[in-house]
Amino acid sequence: MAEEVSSQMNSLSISETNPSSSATISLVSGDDIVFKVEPTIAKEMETVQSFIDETDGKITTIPLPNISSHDLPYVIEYCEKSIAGKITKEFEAEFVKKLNNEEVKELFLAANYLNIKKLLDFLSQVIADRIANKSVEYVRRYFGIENDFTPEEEAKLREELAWTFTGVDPDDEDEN
Amino acid sequence: MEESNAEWAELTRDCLTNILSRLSAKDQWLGAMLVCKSWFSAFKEPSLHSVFNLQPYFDLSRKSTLLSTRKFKSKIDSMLQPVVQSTHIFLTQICIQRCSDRSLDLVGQRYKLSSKFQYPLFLFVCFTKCRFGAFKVEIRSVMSFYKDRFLNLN
Repeated sequence: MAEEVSSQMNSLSISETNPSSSATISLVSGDDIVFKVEPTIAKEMETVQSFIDETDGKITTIPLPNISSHDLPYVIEYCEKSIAGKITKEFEAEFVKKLNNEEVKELFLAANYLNIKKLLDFLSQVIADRIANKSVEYVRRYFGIENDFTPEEEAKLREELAWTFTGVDPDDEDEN
Repeated sequence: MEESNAEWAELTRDCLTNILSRLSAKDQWLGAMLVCKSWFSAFKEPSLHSVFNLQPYFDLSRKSTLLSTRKFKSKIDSMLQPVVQSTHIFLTQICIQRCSDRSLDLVGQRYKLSSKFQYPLFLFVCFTKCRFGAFKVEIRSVMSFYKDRFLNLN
């Protein structure tokens, strides 16, 4: 009994020194904008939550230097919907419509950094859809990746891999 | 956002695999693999190319008479053979519905299947590589599968 009381006292004293601890978590974007979110939102972000857990909830202001104030609201919106159980095909379609390629990439990196599994899976699919049926050059440009194969290496690989799919064109069903 | 671009070539393997696994085999091999060395080596990840599934192609042409032609079979052969022979790709599962004996022989040799598993045409062949290197071979035949999808086509 005595123990219980003292632990209650303990938590009281914490919430006194940090009045916001039970109320909201402050996420600070790389460009120093503060976003106040419910603790349930923070739970969706594993990186944030583990930070909170490590400090026993004493720290409620979390700097996210890798995430801009442009991207963070999207992440928060997705997490809110996720908690509410309202991630539908329609919501995802609308959500992705708002995003250009650059934003999709940034959000993906943000989701990766924050370790939000659902968002990461969703954005993986979005990216896969956007690079499907595209040339190697397009994929490189899309991600801004430097080709580090030598021309000889690339030619050899292309030759080896490419003819797997040559002559397989579903459109030529009718010729027989 | 130069910095974030550099991150894409060096994304963690898990992240990259998550994206690449959602691409069709064609996009993987004609696109993603050739992007850069780091992506190419991501394809050493067995889960990425463990399944060679040509099912989508069958679905595309299921309504045509193409399926029964020699030409179609040779197309399947021409897709299967380089993949089987490639040293970069190690398959754990092959889903095809038709191919030639020659292709099956090839699969058998590459993955050291015993000859009794080298079945003739008109089979739905599904090779599954078990954890310890031995192949479990399922040759799902066919009757029920076929009845639904193909018998009425010819």
